[in-house]
Formats: sequence, structure tokens, C-alpha cells
Amino acid sequence: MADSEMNEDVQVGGDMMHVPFRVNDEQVVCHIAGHETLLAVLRDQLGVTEVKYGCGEGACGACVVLVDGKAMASCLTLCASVENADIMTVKAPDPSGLWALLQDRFAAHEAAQCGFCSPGLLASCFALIQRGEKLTRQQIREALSGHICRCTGYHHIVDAVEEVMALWPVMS
Amino acid sequence: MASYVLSPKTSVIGKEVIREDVRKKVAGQVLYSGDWVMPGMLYAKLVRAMYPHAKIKKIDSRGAYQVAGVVRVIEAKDVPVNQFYDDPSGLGEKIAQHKVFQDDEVRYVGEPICLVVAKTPEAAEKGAEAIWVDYDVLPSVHDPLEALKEDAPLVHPNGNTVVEWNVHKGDVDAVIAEPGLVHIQRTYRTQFVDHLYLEPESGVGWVDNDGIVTLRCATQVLEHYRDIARMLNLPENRVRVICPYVGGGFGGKEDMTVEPYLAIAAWITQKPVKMVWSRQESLSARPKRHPFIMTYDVWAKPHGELVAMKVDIIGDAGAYAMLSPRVLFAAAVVATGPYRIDHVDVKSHAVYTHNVPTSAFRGFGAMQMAFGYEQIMEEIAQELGIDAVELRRRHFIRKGDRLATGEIQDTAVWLNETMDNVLAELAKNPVPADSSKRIGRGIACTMQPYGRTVWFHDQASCWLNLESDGSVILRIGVPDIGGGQAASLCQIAAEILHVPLEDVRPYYGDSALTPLAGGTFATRQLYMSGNAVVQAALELQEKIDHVLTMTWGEQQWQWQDGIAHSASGLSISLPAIYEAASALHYPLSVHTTFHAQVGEGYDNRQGRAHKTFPDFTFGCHGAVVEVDEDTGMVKVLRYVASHDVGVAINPLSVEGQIHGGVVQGLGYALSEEVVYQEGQCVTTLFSQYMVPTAEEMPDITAIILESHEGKGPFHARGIGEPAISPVAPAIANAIADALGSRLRVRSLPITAEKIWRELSSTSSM
Repeated sequence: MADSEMNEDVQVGGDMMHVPFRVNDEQVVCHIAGHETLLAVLRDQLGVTEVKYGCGEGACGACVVLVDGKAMASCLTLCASVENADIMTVKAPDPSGLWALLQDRFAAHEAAQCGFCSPGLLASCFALIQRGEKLTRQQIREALSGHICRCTGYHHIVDAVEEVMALWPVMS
Repeated sequence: MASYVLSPKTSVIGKEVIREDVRKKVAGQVLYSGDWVMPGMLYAKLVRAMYPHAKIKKIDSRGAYQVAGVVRVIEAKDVPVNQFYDDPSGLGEKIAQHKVFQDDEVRYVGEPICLVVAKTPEAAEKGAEAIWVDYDVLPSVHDPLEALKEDAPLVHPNGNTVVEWNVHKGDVDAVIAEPGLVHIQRTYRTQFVDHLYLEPESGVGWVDNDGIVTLRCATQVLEHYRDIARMLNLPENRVRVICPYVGGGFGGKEDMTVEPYLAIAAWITQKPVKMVWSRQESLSARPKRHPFIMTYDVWAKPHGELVAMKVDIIGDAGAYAMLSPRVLFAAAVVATGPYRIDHVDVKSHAVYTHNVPTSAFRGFGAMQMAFGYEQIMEEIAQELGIDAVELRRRHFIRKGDRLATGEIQDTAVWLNETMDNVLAELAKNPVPADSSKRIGRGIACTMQPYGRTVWFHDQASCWLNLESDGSVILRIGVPDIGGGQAASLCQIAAEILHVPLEDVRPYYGDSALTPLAGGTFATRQLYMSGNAVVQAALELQEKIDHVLTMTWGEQQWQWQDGIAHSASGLSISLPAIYEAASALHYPLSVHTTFHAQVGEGYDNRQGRAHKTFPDFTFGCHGAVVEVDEDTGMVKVLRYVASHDVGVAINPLSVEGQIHGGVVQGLGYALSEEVVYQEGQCVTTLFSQYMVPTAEEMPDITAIILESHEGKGPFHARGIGEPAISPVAPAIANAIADALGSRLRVRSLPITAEKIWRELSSTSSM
């Protein structure tokens, strides 16, 4: 979103602004400074604790959320840029059942140990599965390469995603 | 050890149980230490040293108070006892560790100097930047070999040697005088690496209603509340540590991280204080894995009998001892690997430098040694012209053998079994040779201790009781760092008490409310806390049986799903038993302590022990790699890992530990390095630290064997650390096999550049 477009709707008061958006289907308006990241606003203002700080430079994937369905690192996303956007995390309302299916298969395969990377990882998996492609194990690995998991060694994660991919079209 | 009969048919032990904590974690429902907030909470930020060695002339904190939102700057003079001491070897040598805040001589870049407490994280950070520290820069030493020289700058007044351990067996000097022996000497080096858990060091501290200093933080050790009490000059019953699920530890949260700073800030401001370290702080200034320089001398008879081995180990301890004495001890114990050699001399030194301190990291010194002994075995086999697998097989230690330290290995040693499985798996579907790439195959066989050294008198307590509705409460002070520590203890309790798994609820990780069970380190938690739960569950079951027979009579009772069935047709539920117990004034509650096998302290002068560690876990890993001749790039094509785990309590979790260990080990082998130049960290970004991603990693074949001979619950052995140790040597051996012509990279990480240089060094190309 270009800055000029953004500024038309954003109410500016001093160097602070009001930015409306939705988080997990709930409408919010956040009073923020222009430099504030989506990660900081989600965690510190809105208590969306499932979004994690892991590195602050977009390299670990722990802070990934869906912005209008697209997986994005919230630590590199300015909150001012998500005006009117739909933000989703692993706690989003789940009419399709895809979040629940991902969670269930991740648990069944023990595709998490410490679990710190999981909410961000599941957000990317959600976007990936929704694309509806059938990927090989190597392609799944490539698609998830923006997420660092230090515990599981990835094998169980690939198992879980592969299984969800196989199940999903049948269920939707 | 508790005595019990392992029922031939277990109901939850050995089953692939889905962990409740994993369900909650993947649903985003778990609050980690950094997710906690409290009313009126303040934020703290450390000011850290900029030089590796300097005298502090002046700290001017006036600038910080000019920053809006800054509440307080806390310095050395504000801390009641500004110095930590401990006895890391456990042999009665008290070592002055780091200060809470350094106010005199800084010894590494990143050493804490003072703390800014502010109303927002931004104000704390700006305040920290506004503090001016005036230094007199002093000469520093960064190479442990330089640090050992006479004229080296001293890191501490008593000299730069932290510790020297000796292991001595037989008479090396006498036997190597024998004519006709083949001798080789090789040196292997390892690097600084970071734990890189995803959850940074974090926590919240406050003083609660009753004046208790309370820390809710990510830690592997609840018992640090005692260090905090000493620091604040408070009785130990005035400090409490609560540890929610931890976002990864791997040893990096074994030493204190945020604890002293949260405690002093909360104590002084009397407000809740939060602290989350930035990834940059974590990467540059928190303890790392020890870089080792390992020099092996080995003498063998030409037909392939190993006669003697000398090993010299230098570990860079960095600026403070931390756990270096223990790490270098573990290294010395396993220096010769899982091999029978009659004449051994090992010297293991930890050396102070002005580098970042080094301390615990999964594998704990034993892992670096595997990179040494599993390569020297290959190199001597090559020198002798015999098969390295055969050489290993001829020298594998066996149950009942005397190890290099003099202790007897008293449980099963399934080295042949694990190696045979790995070799068979590697032999399946041979990898087609691509003419443009070189293919290599390598294995490594290792031993890794589990549990603490026997003179630590290790113990773990738990409190187990039946509730009136028949549910079971398990209270045990374990920090759960992600390996399913709490979950496997529930499995053990459910198995022995014959109740459904979901009826057992763990309360864990609170130094005030859950009995102390020791830290989650040294692959000790399943062994120690698992045995404590076995002991408690057996005692509780005995009490339940007592109430049953006192109330309903002596007869044959059969338990199923929490109901006792009698031959005469009675069915008694646990709530009914609870009621009956109340009527008998007989509490169905057990508080018990498991004591590990103990032994006397290590005789360092003789280099001998009756016992060092309680036991070892053995295993073999194998890899097939592809090396690109033009670039030196390595691709891991196949990876197989096999361990004897005694008994797999939850095979899914055991497999998870093995997979995770392998990938962490692959990072160690191929790419990871925290780079320091004259003590300054140059890889302070997460993206500069080359940790494995899913894309580069292969699928892993884990082969879990069960000898039923471990010293843990149901005869399990620990697997947390053993899973990582064999990886680097297996990869090194596979790469050497691919390179051929006796080319070998003897330092970690084995990067493309090093391989390319090795290939370029030969004129045969």
C-alpha cells in the first residue's frame, strides 16, 4: 500500500494516528505512532500473545500472521500499513476447519516441542494449504524455509503438513 | 532405584501418546514468560560493555534520567551482594563468577554494567543508550593457546587456567616404546555456536503480597532462587521462581539469564518489571558452546589393535568459569569414545580468555569429543589400511568393561546393534552416483552420559495425590523446556496407578509450590524425575491397595481404568476409595524423594574414579552426502540415527528428540558459527547465524532400540543430549569419504569454502 493512499483514511493526530483493522474477525482501532510494527501493536496493545518475537528482523518466522490471507512477518510490517486489513492468527474463528485440522495433525505428529515457532508456522501452513496445491515433501520444505524450528528437526512438521494437504480438499 | 516389576503389557508406557502441551501450543494457547503482563509493569534494559577488556573509569547515568519515562538506573552499588560464587566442579572449589553489574574491570564485550528501568521498552532502550561509560582499554587475549603463555594478559588474577582434568589408565609411555607401532597425531577444532532457541531470554519479576520476590521467567533451573536470595541478602524462603513452558533451552537457560536483573529491579522499584533480551544481545553476549582444540595421539599395532591413546583438550572458557569445569570434565571422561583402550592419558583444560563466556549446551563437552574420537578412528584405520567399521567393532566397549576412567560400565552397550542397523539402512537403495558430484558415506558411534556426576548427590522430589473425584495431581518442580518433560511423567504415573492418562494433571515449574526436582539439564530429567514419579506412584498405589483391602477385604483385585475389580464381582472406583480413606483417616498423598546413585568425588591426581556419571546412552548415526567439486557445497542426501534408549516412554517424543538433535547437529557440522573478532561479535543478526532450515534438511530415519537396561523409569535411558553428539563426526566422515585421497576438513563448521580449499590443495585435481 502506498503512503499517499494510506494517509487519506488514517486519522493523524500529532505524530500519532488511528488505524482501523480486524484481528481474528474483531474490529479494532489502534492509536499508534508511525514507526510501530504490527508485531508490537498486536502483542502490547491488543494482547495477541500467540504472535511471537523471535528475532525482529524477519528471519525466524515466529511472528508471521496472515494479512488479508497472505503470510507476513509482523515484525517487518508497519502497523500503519495494515489499515482496514484482515489479520488472522492461529486463534482465528474457524468456519472452514482448516486451523483445527492443522492443529490436530501437528499435535498428532508431535510437530511442535517447545511450541514457540508453532503459531507463526501454522499461519504460513494455512496460507499454503489454502492455495490448494499438492506439493512433494521437498516442496513443502522449501515453502516453509522461512520458519526456523530449533526443536523438531522439521521431519514431523513435514509429516503433518503432508497429511493436511492430503486431507484438505476432501474436507472443504 | 525404586524396585518394581515391569508389567509385560503396559498400557501407556511405550505408546505414541499425543502430548496435551503440544495441543495447546499449536493452538496458540500457551503463555510463555515474555507474554505475561502485570499492572503498572516497568521494563528493564541492560547497559553492556563495549570492550573485551577495560577498566571502568566512570559511569555517568545522568543522561538516562533526561529520557522521558526512565524511572531508575540500577548499578553495582545498589546490589546487596554484587558477586556470584559457585562450585561448578562440585569438588569444593569455590569460584568467583561474574558480578551482577561490573563496576571495575570488564572482561568481555556485552558484560552487564548497569540496568535502566523505565515505563516503556522504548524509554528503557533510549535510557540505556544515554548512559556514558568511560573506559581505559586494556590488552586482551582471545586465543586460549595464547592465554596459556607466560606473558599473556591475565583475565583473572590467579591465572588463565580454570581447571585441568586428568584421566589416566595403564602406562602410555611404557607401551609406546614398543617397536613397530603405527602412530598418528591429529588436531580437531570446533567453533562457538549459539543455542538459538526461538524464545529469547525473558521474564517478569515482582514482589508479591507477602514480600516474596517472584520471578516468572524462562529458565532450566528453578533452584536459581537461591542465587537470587544470596544476591539480595534475603533468606532463601523469600524468593520464588516460576517457570511456565519454555520456548527452548538446550543448555542456554541453565545459567541465569534475566533472573538477577528482574529481581534487583523489582526489589528496588517494588513494581513488576519485565525484561526480554533482544536477539542481538542473546547472540552476542549470552554463553556459547565451548570451542575445543583436541589433539589426539594414537598408537596401534599394524594388524589393527589400538595400544594407547593420548588426548589433549583445550576449551575456551571465555571470561568467566560458568559451567566450564563440568563441561571439560564430561569431555575428559568420554575423550577416548566408546572404545576399549588399555593405556590412556587425557588432559582437559578450560582456559580463560576475554571472549564471551562459554557454558552448557546440549552435548556438554562430550559432543565436541565425538568430533575428535570418531575421526581419529577413521584416520588410524586408513593409516593401517583396515576397515574403520571393523576397527570400531574390535574395540567397542562391552557391558562389564572398565572405561578409561577406571569405572565399570554396568548396563547394556548396544554399539554393534545400533551400528548394524544404521549400516543396513544406509545400504538400502544405494544413491546413484552423479558424475558431477562426489558421494560419500560416513558413520559415527558415540557414548553420552545422562544424569549428573555421582558426587553431586542428585535428587528429585515429587508430591502425588489422589483427589476426591479420582483424578490425580502430580506436583513436581521440573522446568518443561519443550521435550515433553511434564508429559512423560504423567505417563509414568498413569501407568503405575492404572488410571487413564487424562486423569493425571501435572503441576510443574514453581519453586514454592512444586517439590524441587532439579534442573532440566544433563539429560537428567527423565532419569531423575521419572524415577521420583515411579517411587511416588508405587507408594501411592500401596496406600490405595491398603484402603481397598481394609475396607472391602483381602482378595484378588484387578485394576483397569481406575477401577478395582474383585474376583467376587465387586467394582470399586477411586472416588469410593478416596471416601473410604477419609473415613480411615488415611491420606492418599505421597511426598517422596528419589536419590541418584552416589559416589565419591573424582580423584583428579590419579585420574581415576569408581564412578563418574550414572550411565551412558550409546548410539550410531550414518549419513550419505553429496559434495559439489566446483563449489564445495554439501548436500545431505540421507541420514540414519539409531540409539538404544533402554525403553521408549513415548516413542513419538523419542523420535522427536532424535530428529531435533540431528538437525541441530547438522547445523553444528555444516554452517553454524558465532564469529568473534578480537572479542567483538560480528554475527549479531539472526539472519547471519546460519541455522538449518527445512529446505536444506533431509528426512531422517530414526531407529529406536530398547535393551531394557537403562537406569531411568521402566529402564529408560536419556536421549536429549545423546541424539546430537554423533552428527558432526558422521558428516565429517561422510565428507572425507566423498573427497577421497585422505582429504579431510578437521575444523567445524565444515563449510563449502573449507572443502573447496581442501580440494584445491591437491594437485591431483
